Amino acid sequence: MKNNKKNPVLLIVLVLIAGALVFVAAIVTFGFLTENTARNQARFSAAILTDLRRIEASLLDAETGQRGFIITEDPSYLSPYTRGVEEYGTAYSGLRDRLRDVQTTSQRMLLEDLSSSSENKLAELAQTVELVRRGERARAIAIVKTDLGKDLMDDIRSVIAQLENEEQDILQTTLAKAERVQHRIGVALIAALVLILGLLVMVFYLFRRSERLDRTEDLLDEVTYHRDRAELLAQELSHRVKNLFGIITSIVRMTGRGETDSGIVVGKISDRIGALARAHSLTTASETRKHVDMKELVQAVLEPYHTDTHDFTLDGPAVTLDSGILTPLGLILHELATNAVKYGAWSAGPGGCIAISWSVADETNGASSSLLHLTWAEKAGAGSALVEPEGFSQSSSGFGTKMIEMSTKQLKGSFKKKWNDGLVVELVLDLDDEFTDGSN
Amino acid sequence: MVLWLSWSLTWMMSLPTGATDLDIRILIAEDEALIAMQIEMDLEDAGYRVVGPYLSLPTCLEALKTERIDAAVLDVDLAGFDVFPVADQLQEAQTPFVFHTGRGSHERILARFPDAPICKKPAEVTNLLKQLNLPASIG
Repeated sequence: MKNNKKNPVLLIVLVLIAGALVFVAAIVTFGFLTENTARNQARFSAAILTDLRRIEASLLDAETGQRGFIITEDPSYLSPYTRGVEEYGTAYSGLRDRLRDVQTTSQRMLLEDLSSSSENKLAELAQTVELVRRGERARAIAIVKTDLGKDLMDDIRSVIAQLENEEQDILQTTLAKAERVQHRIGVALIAALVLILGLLVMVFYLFRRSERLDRTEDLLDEVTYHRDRAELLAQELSHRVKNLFGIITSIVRMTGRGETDSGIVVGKISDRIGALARAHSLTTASETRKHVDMKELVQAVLEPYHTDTHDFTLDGPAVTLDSGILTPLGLILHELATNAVKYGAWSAGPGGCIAISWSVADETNGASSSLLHLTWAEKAGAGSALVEPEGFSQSSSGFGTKMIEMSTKQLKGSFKKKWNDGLVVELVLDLDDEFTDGSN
Repeated sequence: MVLWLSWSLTWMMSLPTGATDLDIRILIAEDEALIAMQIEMDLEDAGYRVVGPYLSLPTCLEALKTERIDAAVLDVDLAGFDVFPVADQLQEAQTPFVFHTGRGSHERILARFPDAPICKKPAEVTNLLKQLNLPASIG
């Protein structure tokens, strides 16, 4: 039995790995977004700072032009002034637009301060330039001397410096936050990777363990199988031993009847038990269902009778017999052999031979079955002849004949004998029939 | 001992038999040829008439239809089949029978036939007869 059950721990670990991967993906995305925000903020802040510098520079230009014009009264000195005023307009509106949606309260207020101071400054410049144009240079100088323009310029510088600081602060805060986030992401990434690594090690371990468990289970199955088989064999063996004791008891009791000479009785009993033993020696206890070969069985049973003068021939295909056939067929063959020694081919001089042949025919009438035809034909040796016994054709009530009949019945077969210059026995057995060895 | 002897004697008297030749017919169901033969011969020596031996269940069931049977010796496993259908019919006809088995455990038999006598194989015929409440010899 293979361990194909879902391992809940393995499932949990795999889910955890998937979770960790999702987490890694999420923090990497978050890190990327944070960095992007920081980069945008830096770009934005740089633009703001540039705007502020342009505003300051434009106002200084305008002032420079005004001063030159006041001193020289030469209109060509006015060009920085004119350029400065224009430049201021675009720079300021650019800054205002940029900050419109993101400005802080203090930025808004500083922007208003900048706007009003710049407007005042520009108004002062415009007024003095206008006075010089109208030839009232003394009044213009008087206005400059009031230090109003200088004070306004100082205010403007101060406000711009504050705005710059403010923007720098915002940028630094954003960058610092991004850095913190990056640091945390780094730590989280390492932790997640360590976790994933740990989980993968766990998966590997679980697979190894499940493999080991499978192997252990296989081993256990095998042990159980062999133990069951051994038990079955022991039972089978026990049955066969009991059965054989029953058969041996019967042999002893029956052989003893009607005989007065104990020597003859003992000889017959030991011959019959010997035949039984030889037939059963063909099976081994190593298989639960034992099969024996036809040829081996005949050889084993006839072996003690086989001498130079007691010959037999075997002719037939390889046939595997169920072990249940051993006792009846072995005893039949043994009775025929002892009969041959007493009255048949092996009784009359040398050269007597028994031809034992068999064939298997498959019959398919209804259920398929294969029939074993066994022929036992005795022939006398050269120069001697066998004499048909008196009353051969009448049914005999002798022990041997009766035992053969009964054993044939046990094999659900048929038995026929005839005389053809010697005894000829024909035995037909159904091989497919389930023979039991009577071990009950 | 005295009890079963007197019982069997009364039972024997009630049998419709000749004065000298008691015709008690015992069926043998046994699938091992030699053991069947031995029981047959021993029963015949003891003066009984043997019906069979039957080495398979179908032949045995067939015999129940035609033969008169006074008692039976039943091997539990007949060539791979339980002999129980035979025992059922005998029980119905109130014919005494004894189970003759090589099996160590008798649970399966007692579950179906709690009162049936059981003899362990190989059993002496005298023992089988005793379990059938029959005398050891009527010759």
